[in-house]
Amino acid sequence: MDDLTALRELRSDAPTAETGQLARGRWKLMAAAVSEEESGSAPARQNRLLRGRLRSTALAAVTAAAVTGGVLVALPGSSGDPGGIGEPQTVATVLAAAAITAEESPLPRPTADQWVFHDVVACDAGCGINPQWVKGDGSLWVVPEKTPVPGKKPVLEQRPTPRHATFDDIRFEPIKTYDAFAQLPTDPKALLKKVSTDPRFVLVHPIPDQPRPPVLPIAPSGRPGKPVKIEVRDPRTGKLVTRTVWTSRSVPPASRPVTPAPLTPELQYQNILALMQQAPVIPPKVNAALFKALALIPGTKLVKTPMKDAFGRPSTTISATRDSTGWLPDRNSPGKFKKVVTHFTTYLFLDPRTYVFRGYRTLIDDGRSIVPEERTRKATAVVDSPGTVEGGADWVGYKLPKWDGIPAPR
Amino acid sequence: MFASIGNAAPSAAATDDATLIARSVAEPEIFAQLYDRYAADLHRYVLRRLGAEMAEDVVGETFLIAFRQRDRYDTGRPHARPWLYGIAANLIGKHRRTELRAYRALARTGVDPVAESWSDRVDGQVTAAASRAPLAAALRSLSDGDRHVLLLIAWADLSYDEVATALGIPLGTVRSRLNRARKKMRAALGDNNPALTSEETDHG
Repeated sequence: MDDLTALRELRSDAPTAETGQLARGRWKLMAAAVSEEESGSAPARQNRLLRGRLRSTALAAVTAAAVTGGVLVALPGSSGDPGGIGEPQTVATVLAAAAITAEESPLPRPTADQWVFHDVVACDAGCGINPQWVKGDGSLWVVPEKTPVPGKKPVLEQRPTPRHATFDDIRFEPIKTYDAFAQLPTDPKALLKKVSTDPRFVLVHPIPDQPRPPVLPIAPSGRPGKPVKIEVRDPRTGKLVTRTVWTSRSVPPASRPVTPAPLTPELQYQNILALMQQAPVIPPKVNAALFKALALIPGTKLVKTPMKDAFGRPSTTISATRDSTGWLPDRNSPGKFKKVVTHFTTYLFLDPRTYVFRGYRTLIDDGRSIVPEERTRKATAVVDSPGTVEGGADWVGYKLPKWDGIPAPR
Repeated sequence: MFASIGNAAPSAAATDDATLIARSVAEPEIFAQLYDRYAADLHRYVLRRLGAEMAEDVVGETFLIAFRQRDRYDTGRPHARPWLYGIAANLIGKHRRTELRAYRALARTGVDPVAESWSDRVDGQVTAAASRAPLAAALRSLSDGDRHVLLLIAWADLSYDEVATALGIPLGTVRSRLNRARKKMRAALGDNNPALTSEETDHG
């Protein structure tokens, strides 16, 4: 054997680093970058003057944290702090880094003929995969068959896009969504105010803290919604056939108020996560500003125990908690209500390397049991045809790891 | 709003390393893109030389040093890979004793502590290629400079020219060091091969 060939074989089974193994190094680099920009090494300072634009207050927060020291956190994938090197990482530093990433990695405004591909998982009692392709103009919505075979290209079903009949719902028409977000302010304070008060951007609603009669189901009997014809590919013949399906009940519930009730900081936090999840393609400057707006919300914490999302990926996690008061009819005293306090903890999942938004999990604790819910994304892209992923390859079915949703010691 | 989006920075793929480094002098956070491009490759290289325990720190340190020296980067060189491997070579040099200890262990016992750091298949390693022990002994016997040249070519797939850039040595020195190193490798393997063949693999 040739000597170089033999040498190339030596230790050739060395694995490529996993994301988590590289996260610490990238974090240190980002911290150095932010620190330099703020403290003003000569080239950075000079350029800052030239560029004439102020860096965000979040960046200042990063530096302050880096200098004065915040929470010491071992990133997922690193084994504690072997070298004695702890990175002072705080909610502010993480969100500032996420804002930088968001601004640097834009998804384009889709054209009317393109499709927004969004591969998400929704978990409550269990997890289900929900990949979908929404046409740029919002006219069509394509989803795979209900139980795609792992590793196989699924049969696609084409449906009319769900719309809300009574008000301006920006969520299901990608171009409209993009343009609506493009008009938002990029100043974090102004943005936080706007998305917390403009009914088009308020997706979460506080429960009124007063007794109220039970809400009747929307469709008390029979099928909910209305019938629509959809095109489905017959798996045996490969031909398109028409099938009648029933739209699910209106999205969101018809009881949604025209003028939203004021949101508490905790609900503002929840609302921004819902916006990020439901509007995956928005202008990068606004996306960055949303992270900066999140940083303005008090009461958030960096989770020290690494958490895995529904795809089993270790994530940098920020948590926020809130208590919600509700009233239930009292079984023992007909006509009376009893107060119920439910405790919500919402975890924001970020990619530990790039700080890209991945999704969130909410633990709902009513004092008797803890119920987890999760919405997490695997991929988002603007593609040319439904059924494909970024780069043009076919989407194929996949399996999710086991999920129990409730993190180990909190 | 859209005008500003349309004028956004060119995508990472379209920007060469030199442009990116030049921009990062003014906008430091852009340097992270260089990390995304090369950290994984560099990590694997350091992993093969020093093992898992050191790899992460050496790669992190390499990029921090590169970041601090970025305003001195020769922007006439579009690819930053040799520069990064050069910095890493210096850092690996600081862990020389760790590296040599592993070669010695492999040469004497057939068990490679470096490979063990990412694999627990010790049994498999013992029965792996018989050439590993003599190769390890030969690697240990090389001068540091010769070892850097040989392994940058064999493990990092750098071209002669890139090795010269990485280590800051003339091309002729790369050739002579490589020649010397390969002679030792060949001797270790029993010298069954015909005369040295030129292995210049210019990736540039």
